[in-house]
Amino acid sequence: MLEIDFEYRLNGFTLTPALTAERGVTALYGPSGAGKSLTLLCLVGLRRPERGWIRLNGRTLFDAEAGTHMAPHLRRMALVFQEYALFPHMTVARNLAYGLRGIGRADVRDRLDAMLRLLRLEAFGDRYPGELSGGQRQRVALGRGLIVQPELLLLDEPFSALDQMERERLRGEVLELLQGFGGSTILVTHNLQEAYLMAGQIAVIDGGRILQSGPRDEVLQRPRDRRVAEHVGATNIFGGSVTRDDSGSSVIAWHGEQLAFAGTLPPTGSGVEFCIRPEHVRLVWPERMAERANVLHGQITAEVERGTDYLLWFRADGPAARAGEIVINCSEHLHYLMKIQVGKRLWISLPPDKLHVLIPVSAEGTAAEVAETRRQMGANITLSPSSRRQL
Amino acid sequence: MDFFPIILSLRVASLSSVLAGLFGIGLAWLLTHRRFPGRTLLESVVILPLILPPTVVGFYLLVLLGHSGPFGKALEAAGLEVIFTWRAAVIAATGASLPLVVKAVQAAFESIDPRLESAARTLRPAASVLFTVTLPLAWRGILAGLILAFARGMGEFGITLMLAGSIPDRTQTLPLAIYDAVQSNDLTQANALALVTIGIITALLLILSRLPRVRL
Repeated sequence: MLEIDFEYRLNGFTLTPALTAERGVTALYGPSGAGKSLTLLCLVGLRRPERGWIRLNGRTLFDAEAGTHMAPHLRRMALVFQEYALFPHMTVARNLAYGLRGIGRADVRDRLDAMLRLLRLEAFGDRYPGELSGGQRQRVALGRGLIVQPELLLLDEPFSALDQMERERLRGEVLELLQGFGGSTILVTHNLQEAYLMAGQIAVIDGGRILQSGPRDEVLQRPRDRRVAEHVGATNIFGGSVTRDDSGSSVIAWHGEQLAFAGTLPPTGSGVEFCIRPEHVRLVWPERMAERANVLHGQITAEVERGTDYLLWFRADGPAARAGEIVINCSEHLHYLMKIQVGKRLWISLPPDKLHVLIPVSAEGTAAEVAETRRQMGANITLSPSSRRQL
Repeated sequence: MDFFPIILSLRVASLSSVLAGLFGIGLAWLLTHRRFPGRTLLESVVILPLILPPTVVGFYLLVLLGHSGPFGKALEAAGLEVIFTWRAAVIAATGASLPLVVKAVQAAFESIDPRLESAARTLRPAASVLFTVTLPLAWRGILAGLILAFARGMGEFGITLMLAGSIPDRTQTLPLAIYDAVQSNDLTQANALALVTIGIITALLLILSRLPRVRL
């Protein structure tokens, strides 16, 4: 288990990641410039934080107060940059055996042979990295880290340089190789799909801080606050207030609508920020309307075809139009059946069990963030035409 | 033809390029791999001999290493005579070629993908990474730096004149001997020495241009 809580400053950027990573794969997910790679450099000991500590399976690797700062090669960590970070002047065998030191020649031979077998590269021991295919190079890079039996394996943006097909194939291979690995793995990525596919845990990082970490589904379905919701693709974020409906149940008052909510809401009268993922918004057949909760009527204002599915932008009629557009992810099949097109008027439903209430950023944020939240409260994020095209 | 200046210059240039190589690689490593206060200042100081007039560099080295200078006294106490000996010529050539080595090696170090060294560093101690990854990957740059240093050592004039003088059969290097020959109107001698210099430098350039490329 890896436990970290430290502070590192660099040119006005403050990195303060606090994280506990269990065995298995943890994705460190965030945009470029969030501090992901810098976190890795601090973890392996190539950068020295000013404050805090780093512990791995009970061993203290870094402790600012005690003055502990263990050298990188003693930390039992391996840093893997796939494909490109092989030593070009060494053969595959010498690359793999690079970290095997202080053990007998025969042991080195045995472990090297075992690793070449595991990587399915028995015939390639004497080749140079330049003579290998992309996938083979990537396996060697992973093998060079795994062969020293580290307690923590760090993968820095391993697939970002690859095309889609190659990426999917190599993800599978890496997961396969990691099956025999008993330690923890940290996968740095800016790709949400990759984080979800490869990791059991996701830690969302931005601005040098871990915003939320936990099991992947929890992070995706139950983002803690607006910032996490935006990062994990819960695009529809709205502000409302808690009130009581005619029957006395707690509901969310939102631009003249009363939205039923499946969970527990804050006390009546308080403002709430809530979100719903685009794939959770339902398109409703007119004849089924009465069976659905939280239905809204409106029209499709834009759509983007994404191969197997569509992204739709929906604007409600009446006061709810002020909430801005609601993004809906809809399958190609349903798109065809309902004859969806721009300008089409239809009903949608925001299922009460799919609405998720966010913690106001102000609860743990800075004064500036509070101001920002207040400014945004009650207004859905507005998508510009250019950001639509990117989706 | 007097062979002494040729032998002396070859000796001075060899020694000075080895010295400049050692210090230059160390300095280049520091400048590329470590962040510390005064890094920019150090970089500027190293480059100074390239920019300042050789006589100015020579003058201050003379002040530092001379009989009344701070280093001169220490050297004298150690029984090491420097000023106006061949050793002074070596120091002059080393100082003049150090910036060339630092620049060449620095560029070679900077062209190495930092991820290679980071990955290596998690597996081996820093010194081992230097010898197994950094230096092997930078060897072309290092060799180029050394050859430039050797050429600069062969041609050093101003600093050497200030620091070692131009004492025939003691500190008179090739460039000084050519100048001396011209001064005493011995054009045959000057021409012979100049041709020898051209021969040596051309041979070096040929080697430099034929360096095999590192396998990637």
